[in-house]
Amino acid sequence: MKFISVFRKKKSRDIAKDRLKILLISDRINCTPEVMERIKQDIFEVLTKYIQIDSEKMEIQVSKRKINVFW
Amino acid sequence: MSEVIVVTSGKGGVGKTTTSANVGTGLAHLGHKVVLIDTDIGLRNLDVVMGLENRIVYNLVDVVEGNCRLKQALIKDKRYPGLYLLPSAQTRDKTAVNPQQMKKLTSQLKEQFDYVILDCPAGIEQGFQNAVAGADRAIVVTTPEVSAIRDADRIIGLLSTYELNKIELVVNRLRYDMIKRGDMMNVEDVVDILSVPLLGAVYDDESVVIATNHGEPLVCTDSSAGKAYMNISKRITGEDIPLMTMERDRSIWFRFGTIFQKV
Repeated sequence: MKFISVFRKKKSRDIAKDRLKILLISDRINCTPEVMERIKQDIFEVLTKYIQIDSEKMEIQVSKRKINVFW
Repeated sequence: MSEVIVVTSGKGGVGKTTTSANVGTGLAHLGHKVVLIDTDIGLRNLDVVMGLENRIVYNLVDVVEGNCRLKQALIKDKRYPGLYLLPSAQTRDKTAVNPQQMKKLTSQLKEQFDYVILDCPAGIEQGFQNAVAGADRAIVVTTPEVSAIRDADRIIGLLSTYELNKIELVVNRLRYDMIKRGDMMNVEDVVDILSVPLLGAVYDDESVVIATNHGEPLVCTDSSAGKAYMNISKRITGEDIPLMTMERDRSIWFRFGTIFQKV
């Protein structure tokens, strides 16, 4: 069933969720999405020196006082 | 034991006043002594939603400035024993009151009432600071829209800088048909994004408009929104009420529906 959904148009609910996730990260730490992308890139580069991780799977969650990195 | 609860949202028009009116009435219906305070100075609305606009003599600013005694400004709602309204001033602005004065007022009211419900104005300026100053607990109202959720997130961030015991979420104006189509975020999506405990979900219901037309809260009626607000009121008092069954039944059918669609 999953592969059928690949051919479907993306639902506006998912678009809203994706947009909000990026928007709130930058709102919460008060920086632009571009800066956020650069921070993410830098964290990725530092981590790959020591750990093998997939940049596609890496996710960063930012709240007011902490940053969580998942991979 | 008494509690001061602020109803806030950041964005305007998401249902703060409707939520305040119905939660206040719901709590009064459950037998508690409740006072509703409209803190939106200059743009008062809670009085019309409650249908008490013709009974205003004194207002919040009069009380704070000492033009009248607190008791004189409180309007007793004759329909529900134990329910009172402290209306806002229409001809003044937000600077007429400061957070210290609000703190003093709410602590005074706490002695006489079980619940003090503050209807907060939209925005994050002084009106918001006034409303939050004396609160023990916050209800953040949002709708499943990008703009409302963004503002709710900002408000939650600001609320976390105050000494509040609880910050909880009410998701308002959800629509079954749009959620089913995948054109609206559902309750879980909103809770997931904002990471705040859910106090209740209210589905879009035209009886809200009709009740407001009449100036009557709908919390004691048989409508879906009325029931949802009653559940929220019960949860505030600490009762363990699961999310509305209709919601769950529907969600199971949604799943069947989406399976058939995909097949």
